[in-house]
Amino acid sequence: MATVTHQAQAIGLGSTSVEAATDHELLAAIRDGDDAAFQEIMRRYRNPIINFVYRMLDDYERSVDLAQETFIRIYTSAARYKANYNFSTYIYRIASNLAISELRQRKRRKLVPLLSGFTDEHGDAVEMDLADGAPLQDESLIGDERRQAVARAIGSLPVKYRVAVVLRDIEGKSYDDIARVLQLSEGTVKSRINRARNLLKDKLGAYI
Amino acid sequence: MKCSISRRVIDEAEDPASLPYAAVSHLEGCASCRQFADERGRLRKLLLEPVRVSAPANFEAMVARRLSQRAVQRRPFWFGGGFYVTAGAAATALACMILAVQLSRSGRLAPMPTSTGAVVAESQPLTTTPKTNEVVIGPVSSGPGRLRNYIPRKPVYRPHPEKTGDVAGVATPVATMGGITDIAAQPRALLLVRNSGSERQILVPMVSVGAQPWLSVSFPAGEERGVRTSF
Repeated sequence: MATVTHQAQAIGLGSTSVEAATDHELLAAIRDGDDAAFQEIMRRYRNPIINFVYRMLDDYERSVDLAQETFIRIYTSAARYKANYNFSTYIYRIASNLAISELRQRKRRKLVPLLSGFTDEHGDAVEMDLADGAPLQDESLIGDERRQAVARAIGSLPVKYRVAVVLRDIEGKSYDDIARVLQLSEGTVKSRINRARNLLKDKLGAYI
Repeated sequence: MKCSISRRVIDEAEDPASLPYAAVSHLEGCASCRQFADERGRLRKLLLEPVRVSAPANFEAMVARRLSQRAVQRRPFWFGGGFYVTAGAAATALACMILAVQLSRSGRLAPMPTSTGAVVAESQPLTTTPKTNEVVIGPVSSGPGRLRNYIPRKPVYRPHPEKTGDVAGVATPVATMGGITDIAAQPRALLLVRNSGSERQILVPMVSVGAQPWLSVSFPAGEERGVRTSF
């Protein structure tokens, strides 16, 4: 601890320890090559990011892998970081982009067509994303059919709806934050979340 | 409030527990909207049910290892495409410089218009009684050959009508360059060329800063020296 505080002073955080520093201060310290600041950023965000990616992918090992990649990108691009908005928004944007890329790669690897050719009442294509029947990584902890059903229902949502509803209803982000993360208008975000909830209500009708 | 608006307000509320008064009053009298609100509430609870996972204990160590591996695996600079672009640009610039030098030496490159051609220097010997007060400006035998194109050949300059006598006191010394013994100038571009035995004052009305137009100054003893007139 004393070492950490000493390093914080050495990199210009003054008497503030890395634990008390803001995210922006930590990013500035990371830019100066301070590993303690990077450790602190990882300590703050590792679990939220892993959970977010896990809800997107339903694959714990891959979620940990992508969360690590997220932090690596934070570290390597710290010099280009601009504190225009919350660091939380920045890191969730990186993680969501990685998760979306992963989902798209998975779709390409599948042999069955993903688009059914049908559209919903709003004119959007409805994806026939079959629910993954493989057991969850934390099945021993969940042990509940309902939780599995929720995970499958989320996993069956189109990616653009899935990321929005996970950020809103599971991660508890505000509409404004979600709009910044996904680089969409707030109205589009609200619309997507509404559609995602309607789809989830249909899939989880037995549990609601 | 219409049901559609009420449902949109319920669905888009940042905090479902604190709805606007209009929506709450609508819910009290609308069973279907109340059911919609209940369904949304149950759906939110259901989505929050899955247990939250945690990072593995060695998460930081794995990130550190991947960072170090990435640093090792980083390809050398010359493998990147940027190297070839940089090298190509540098080679092109070098070729252009060589071509320009060759053209300049062969006299095919037109001289840049500098103030040298417009220089009307008037000299005044600073020594007590010079034998001649003419300063001959022309090619400098000992100077760089490429500068000959810039120098008008043998114009004759008369003494400055106002600056007669010893004006060395108003001149400001400037750094010497090359083999020139000493140069002094004042803001009005008054040059003081000092040789071992005598001195000459040259008034240059127009001065090209940085172009270093070359003057050749002949001294009473017959000696000739080169002077750069830029400031």
